[in-house]
Amino acid sequence: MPQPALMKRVQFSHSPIPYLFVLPQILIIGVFFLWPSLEAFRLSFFLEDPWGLSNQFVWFENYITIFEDPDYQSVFGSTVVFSVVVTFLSIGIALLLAVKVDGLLRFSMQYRPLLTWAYAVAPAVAGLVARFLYSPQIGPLYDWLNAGTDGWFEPRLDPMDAWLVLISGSVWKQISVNFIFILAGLQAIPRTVLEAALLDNPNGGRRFLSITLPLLAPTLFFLLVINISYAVFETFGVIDTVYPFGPPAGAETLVYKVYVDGFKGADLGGSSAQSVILMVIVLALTMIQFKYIEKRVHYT
Amino acid sequence: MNGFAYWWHRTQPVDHAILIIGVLFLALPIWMIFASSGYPPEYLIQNGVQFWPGDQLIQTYDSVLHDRRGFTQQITATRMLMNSFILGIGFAVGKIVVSMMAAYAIVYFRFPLASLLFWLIFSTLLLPLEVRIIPSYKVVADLGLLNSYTGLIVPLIASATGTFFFRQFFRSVPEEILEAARLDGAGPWKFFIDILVPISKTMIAALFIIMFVVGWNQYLWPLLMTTNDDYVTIVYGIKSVMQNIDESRIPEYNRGFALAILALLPPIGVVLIFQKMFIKGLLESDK
Amino acid sequence: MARLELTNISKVFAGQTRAVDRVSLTVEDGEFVALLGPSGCGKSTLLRMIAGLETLTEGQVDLAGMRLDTVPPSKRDVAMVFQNYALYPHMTAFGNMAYALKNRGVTRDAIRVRVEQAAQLLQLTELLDRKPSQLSGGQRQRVAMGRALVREPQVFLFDEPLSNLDAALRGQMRVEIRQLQRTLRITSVFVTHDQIEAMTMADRLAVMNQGRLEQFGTPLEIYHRPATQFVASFIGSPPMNFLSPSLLPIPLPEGTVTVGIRPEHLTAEGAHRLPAGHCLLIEELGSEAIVHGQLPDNQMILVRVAGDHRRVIGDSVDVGFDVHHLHCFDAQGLRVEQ
Repeated sequence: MPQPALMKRVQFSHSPIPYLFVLPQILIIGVFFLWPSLEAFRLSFFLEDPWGLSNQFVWFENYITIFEDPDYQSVFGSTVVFSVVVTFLSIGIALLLAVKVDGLLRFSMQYRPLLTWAYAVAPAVAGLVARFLYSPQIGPLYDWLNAGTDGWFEPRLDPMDAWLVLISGSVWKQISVNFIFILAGLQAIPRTVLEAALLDNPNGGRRFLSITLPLLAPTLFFLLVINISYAVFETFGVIDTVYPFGPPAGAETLVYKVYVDGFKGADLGGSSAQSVILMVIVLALTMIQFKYIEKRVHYT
Repeated sequence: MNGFAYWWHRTQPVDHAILIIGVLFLALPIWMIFASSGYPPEYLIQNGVQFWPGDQLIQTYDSVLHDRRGFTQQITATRMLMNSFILGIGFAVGKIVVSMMAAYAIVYFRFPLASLLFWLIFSTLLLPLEVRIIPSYKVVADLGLLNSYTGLIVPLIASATGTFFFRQFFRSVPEEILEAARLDGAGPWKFFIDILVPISKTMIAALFIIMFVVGWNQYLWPLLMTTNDDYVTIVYGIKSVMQNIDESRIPEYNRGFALAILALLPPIGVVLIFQKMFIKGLLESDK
Repeated sequence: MARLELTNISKVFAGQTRAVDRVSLTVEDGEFVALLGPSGCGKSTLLRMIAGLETLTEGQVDLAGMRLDTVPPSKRDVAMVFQNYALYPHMTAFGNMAYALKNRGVTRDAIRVRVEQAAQLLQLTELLDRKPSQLSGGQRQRVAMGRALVREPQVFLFDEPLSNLDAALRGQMRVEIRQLQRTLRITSVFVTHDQIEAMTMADRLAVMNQGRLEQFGTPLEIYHRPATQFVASFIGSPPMNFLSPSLLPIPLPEGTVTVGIRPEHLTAEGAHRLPAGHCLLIEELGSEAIVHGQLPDNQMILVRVAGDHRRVIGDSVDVGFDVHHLHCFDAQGLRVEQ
């Protein structure tokens, strides 16, 4: 994949237009991106009393409190596990469906809308659906999971059961996006390459692992990034609708905790410090992504 | 046996079975929510979520759309839908206008601050709104923009995904088009209006569809921004449904379900009707 | 009189070598000049500098006695046909041709008249309301020509305009462009890497290599008296043979390092003989054949023979030449006169 030059070879110069044209974007970024980001950074060094009457510069105390808080550590751990599980399940299911659609001789066009529409489902709606299907009052899945047992499944009380609900809601909503990208990735593989592989290797499964999957790697890598970011940030809507009054202890993600500590707990300094930690994590992930993407992925 | 093998190969029954399970997995939950919205709450409490649609569908939706009752005490679903359309369309249009202009400046001009501004814009891709949600709230509150469409829409535009989308597309436009236009006497402004905007038409449409859905589905930001019921969007309305259901003795499941279905229909409709364009836009955005 | 003069033109791209190195040439009024050379030789850059799409690092361009390189491209009175045509995809053929006139404030009626005239000349009248995507390659090419034509420019610039067409169409467009240019007598500069295009179309051709002008002359001058070894090797197909002087049984001018002779000039009847070799390969083309021979010292030669030659691989190759067909080059690759 040749890297195109950063800019066009031919450009206009000596014109006020570029300044006028980037101005709206820069203004919006300045006011609603830079300022809040710097503000988060600043606030993370202050301790504010819950009524907002006074605040005190406390150096790194907020950070120290966070890192020493066993609660934060466990939320951190469960966010990682949650993200990994959501990512692998939603990519895995989508991969299976996309490979099947791509291999169909007939009707492959008919399946496409049936598998892509769920892109448009809001995480909040996915949360609502998951909540009622698993609801102790009316949920068929609640009844089904507890059938013939002494009622082991209690998503309102048990954090593991709560994770099951959150994961299934989050995965369900995300399959369509992954399906669209993987199917496009599969269709971009040149037919002649697959035909050459067919002559070289009679085993369909091995052919998939040794030819198709490596050629699909750029797509899958891209989706890995997208899905992790989705699982970390966008699933707030799922959690907050499944548990409008908060999930059982132990079933929170980092973003949810930022929100709860900042708004409900009114701990602005602590919440801001958590925001800053999140920013650092995202930046680190992005760096790794840029480094990794150069080296390990086969481009066609 | 040969005939059977041929039939098996041609009709691919296992593959179809897997795909049909996949289709049902995606569709059944929504279908059951829809079907159940046609029953009175008492029936649902006794019998659980239903598969066949109840006979009160029309009543339920009519009531949700027009009555200020139950959990939606101050506002009808019609108003929430309107707010959602304003958010979805306003967000999409704002984002397209702002990002097209910025991308034009970045791709087609050489100016002293270009690379600095490019990196500033690029950095917004790294940090989603969620990580700076509290200070963003403070900034918007300080500016007096709480409970306004401006405060709802503009901060969401701060991420530069659209700028990168158009930058990618502009760079794929052959350079000779610009050269030909310059020989034909088009300056920077004319080139933008006469040539670049018209040839970006399908890209604009594709991005519009995606951004409409993204804007419509916003949850956390409206949740923080709106304390006044006049600005509640339908996706945010779901939260109050949930709280109501947890708090009341006879929860109005049917009305909650109807609200969810209403929140789903416009984005799903847009995605299905403009499927080709939407997929094109989505795939383009990743390059 | 649209006489185009390039004086000592250079182009240095930031941090790179010279893309164009002190090129001077003059295109007479109404003349058709081809810029020929391998890709990367600077010919397109030179053309783009004439158009004003690229600034000059050094040198000067004059058109009809007026300094041109300080004028913005749209005011230069030059028109350009691009390799990929660069038609505006959202405009009809008419819109494409009219756009420049509109920008110059020509009235609607005048635009219509001029576009229709050009369309008639190019047989596009029926296609004026189609968009580029609804036109064939040849038709797009014509619209691109029409777009240049309606501006009634003093100079026509062509940037490899035929390279996206298939062989048959290319041959046809070659003739059409040449006839059109003869009729309108517009000064034209035509960039190509195809020597047949250059030889058949141009009044004079400028051969470029590595940014430098190697030779500027009529097609026949360049074929018969190549000024440098590069020109000799670039023009002619199959390419010229280059032999070491020691193989030749005759005295050669002082300083000769390499001797060139074209495959068609090695014949059985030649006055002087080359050492005999044997035949390695024969490319049969029907009307003629190209014999690949190996001489002593592993020297390879190509010989062009008539189609009915009846040679087979392994036969001996024993050919001769006449002295006036030899091209002698010195250590710098410059021609040495005999």
